[in-house]
Amino acid sequence: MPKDKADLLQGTLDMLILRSLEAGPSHGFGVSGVIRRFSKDALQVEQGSLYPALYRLEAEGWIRSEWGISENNRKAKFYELTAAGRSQLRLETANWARMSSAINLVLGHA
Amino acid sequence: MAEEMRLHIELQTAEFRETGMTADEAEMKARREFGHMDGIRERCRDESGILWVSQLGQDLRYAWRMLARSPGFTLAAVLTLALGIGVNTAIFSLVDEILLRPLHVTDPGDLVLFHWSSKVDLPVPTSGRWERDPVTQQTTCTSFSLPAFEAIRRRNQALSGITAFAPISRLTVVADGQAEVVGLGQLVSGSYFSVMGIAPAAGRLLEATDDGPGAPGVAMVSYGYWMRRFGGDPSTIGKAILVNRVPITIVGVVPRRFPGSLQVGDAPDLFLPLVLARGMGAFEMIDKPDALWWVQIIGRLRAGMSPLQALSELGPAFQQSALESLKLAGAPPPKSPDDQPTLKAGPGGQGLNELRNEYRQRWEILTGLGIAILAIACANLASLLLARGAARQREMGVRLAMGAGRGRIVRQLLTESILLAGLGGALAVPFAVWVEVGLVAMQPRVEGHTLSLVPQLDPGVFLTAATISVLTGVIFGLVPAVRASRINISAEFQGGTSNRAGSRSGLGKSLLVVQVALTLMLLVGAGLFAGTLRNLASVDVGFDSRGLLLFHLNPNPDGSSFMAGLAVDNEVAARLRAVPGVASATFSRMPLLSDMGWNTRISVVGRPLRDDGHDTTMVNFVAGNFFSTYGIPIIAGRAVDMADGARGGSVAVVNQAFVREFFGGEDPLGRILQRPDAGNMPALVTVVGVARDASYSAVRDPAPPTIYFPYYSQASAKLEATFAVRASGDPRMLVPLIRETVHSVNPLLPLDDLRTQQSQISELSATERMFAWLSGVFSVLAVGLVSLGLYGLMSYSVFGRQGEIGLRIALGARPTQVVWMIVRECMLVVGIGVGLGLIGAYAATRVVSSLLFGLSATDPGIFAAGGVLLLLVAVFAGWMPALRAARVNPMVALRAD
Repeated sequence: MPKDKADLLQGTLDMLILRSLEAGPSHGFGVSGVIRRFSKDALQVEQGSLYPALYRLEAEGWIRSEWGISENNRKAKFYELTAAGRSQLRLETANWARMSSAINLVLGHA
Repeated sequence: MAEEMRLHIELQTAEFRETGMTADEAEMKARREFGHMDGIRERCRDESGILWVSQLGQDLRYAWRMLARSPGFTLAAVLTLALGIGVNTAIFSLVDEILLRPLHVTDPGDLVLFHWSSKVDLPVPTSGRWERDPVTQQTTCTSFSLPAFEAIRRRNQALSGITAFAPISRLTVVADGQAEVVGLGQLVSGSYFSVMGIAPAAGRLLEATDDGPGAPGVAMVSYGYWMRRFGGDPSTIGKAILVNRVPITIVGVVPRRFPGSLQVGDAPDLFLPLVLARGMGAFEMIDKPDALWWVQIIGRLRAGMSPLQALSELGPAFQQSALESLKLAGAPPPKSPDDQPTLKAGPGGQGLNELRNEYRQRWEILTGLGIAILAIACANLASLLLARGAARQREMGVRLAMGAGRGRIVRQLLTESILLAGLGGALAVPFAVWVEVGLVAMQPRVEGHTLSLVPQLDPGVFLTAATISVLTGVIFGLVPAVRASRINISAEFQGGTSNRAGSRSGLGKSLLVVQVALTLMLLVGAGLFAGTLRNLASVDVGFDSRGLLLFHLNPNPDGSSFMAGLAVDNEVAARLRAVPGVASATFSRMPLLSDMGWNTRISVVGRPLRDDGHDTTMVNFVAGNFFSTYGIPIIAGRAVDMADGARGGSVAVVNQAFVREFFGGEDPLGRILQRPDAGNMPALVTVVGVARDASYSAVRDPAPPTIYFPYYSQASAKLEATFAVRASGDPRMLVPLIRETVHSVNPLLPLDDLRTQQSQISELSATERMFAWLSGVFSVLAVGLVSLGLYGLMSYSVFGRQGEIGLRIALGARPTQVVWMIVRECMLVVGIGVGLGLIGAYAATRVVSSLLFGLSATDPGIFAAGGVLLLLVAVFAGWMPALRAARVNPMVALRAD
């Protein structure tokens, strides 16, 4: 449960969540499902990380929440990307691209 | 949030079921995969800053529950806080009001109070206070003569206004047919209120036109008097009353927060124009009023002017007037310019200052007491919190294991401390009011009127005391939190309570040492004051003070008819003697042991006048039966009595100290005494009797030389008399009879200040009694707190050392040895505290040495007693935990380790 594992990981998770909300609003379960499916089951987000991340993103103002009705007729909290969130997502995506190509270069030459 | 997670699990369950699991399997798997909900919830809460408000509410509720669960701790902590904050707020608010706060007038910083100083005593009659500086030999006095005031006023340019005022005491007021005595009034010149710059609460202010000769008599009343006597009735404005038989119309009410500009704590009920002074009998000598120095002078500086500029302008005018006064008094002119009186000025924003300076020492001691209490309270609070924190380590560990963030735990403990502080502070407010009222009530009366203070709580003081206490609470409340956040969870759960007690209680021990030291200082203080009171009570005052009732009469307050007034006094005394239950009755000008005094210079005819300050004697004017009523034996010659008036010639009785001082032990009977100063006493007197020494105005000092004149021989028109009635039985039965008797002589003659001689004597030691009481109460409280603290510390220590103790017992230690081990630890802590406390007390009691009587500030007996008491407390407090230690079952203890 130590929280200070690489911030890199935390930032990446944020990015993935924002990306999965880009298509449209969803609740927490939906977000984890999207990530799982798109990664072809490679990435399974722990609920223990997902929900705190959602709350953090909301605190930062990148997503906002609203209560609505879910597919099985239950009350659910839906999260939606904000304008600030969109620009954050673009920023983080660009960062990730730069980072990963830099890493690839090193790995390629090692 | 719970909803959210429930939904997640439901959807997950549904998914799993689609893969073919049973409902139950699916749900279990979903739950397991989700993880621990509470921990996740906590972390979500941590992340979202928006929810902090609801978090605060949650924290508060939780804090409240935790505090309610340990009521003993909560009660102790809240009371400790209330005590520390409340006492200090009360003391410092009073100190501020008495010593520091300026008058409630416009721009008090612009006011200057004038005084004069000279190297020699001005041989002119002065009333009011004067001080002599023992170092520079300069006499300083704030009283001026009326001609001096006029001279200064005529020359004045630098001040926008200048005014004279003086107190006048014991005014007989007749209003609506009811007579009463008003303790204090203030005579003011016409410009007084414009110089002060205040507005009336009702009606109008006294003005310059009211202060002219022939102006109709008017007066202002104080707000308090308006409420008390007239119920705040607006028709009081314009009401006609009699003040000392002078017809007066009330024209206005002085605002509530303005108590005049007299000594601190004096609040006159009437303000009268200065021109009425003579008609009211304000001073003794009515034949040469201009020769008496009796008014105080305050002025207001113009913008940009400095006091020095004012002095340079007014100083010469004053000196000229002073020299003329000397000529008028028949005194030789000063030999050198240095001996001439010089005009000085000081800040006038607080009114008269002399009493304030006298109070200063008293209030400094009180301040010291207050700080000691605050320190003890903070130390106690800190050790309470530490002990509690230590006991909750396990709880912290569990919460951390369950996923609570460290920040969260710290915040929660902080909230607890703040809630505690809030409760303590709320309780402190009524407590502070109570303490402040009590302190004011404990102040001694001066000349028949009590210290008039409106107890106010200064919010700044409250905040300061509260902040200190809260900071202590926060800091020491956080220590366990900080420790908790650093603990190794697994180590905690594996037990290992040993090796922790030693280092952990280091801080707690030092706090207790500090508390013990301060408690010892309080105990020593209490012992010293109690001893002083006992010594004071056992002084032989030279007369029989039991069973004596005193009261004050002023039969002709306006000084009009001496003979008529004297007849009234005699009539009252005669009727009193006829009352059943009265053994004897008499009256005199001065009461005995009332802190009032009258002295004069005197010499023996045939011996040179002494110049060295040993030429003064105390004076009293006494009626018949004086010596027998008071129980002062006449050891040679006879007493003075009323028949002496008829015989003509002036006679007097002197006391033994007088004989020693002025006659060198020779027989004084028949010798003649001479008074060098003009005044209202006979110039040549024959000694007809010698009385045994009796204390005059102070119990602490030996009886001074005293001369007793017959009552009527005072040339003064003012016939104030203190009556003394000796009861043959219970004095209290006589009270209504005495009132009736006076009423039967003259229904409009108010009887003032009825009290017993003994209560008057104990008034003199009111300050010492206040300190004895306060330090006694505080030391009892402190001892209680220290005992609790020691008990808690030892209990925790025993708990922590269970393993060690079990080992020792298993290895063959006897129960007494174990008990001794614990008790010894306790005594060590207290011993160090006592050592520090002794040093502290030694240094601190110097401050109060002037208040002590009959014992020294470093009385070894009291110091030793305090130390022994605390060591006994140590034994007592450590006893129970020690017994518990002795009963430790070694098997259980060793396994638990």
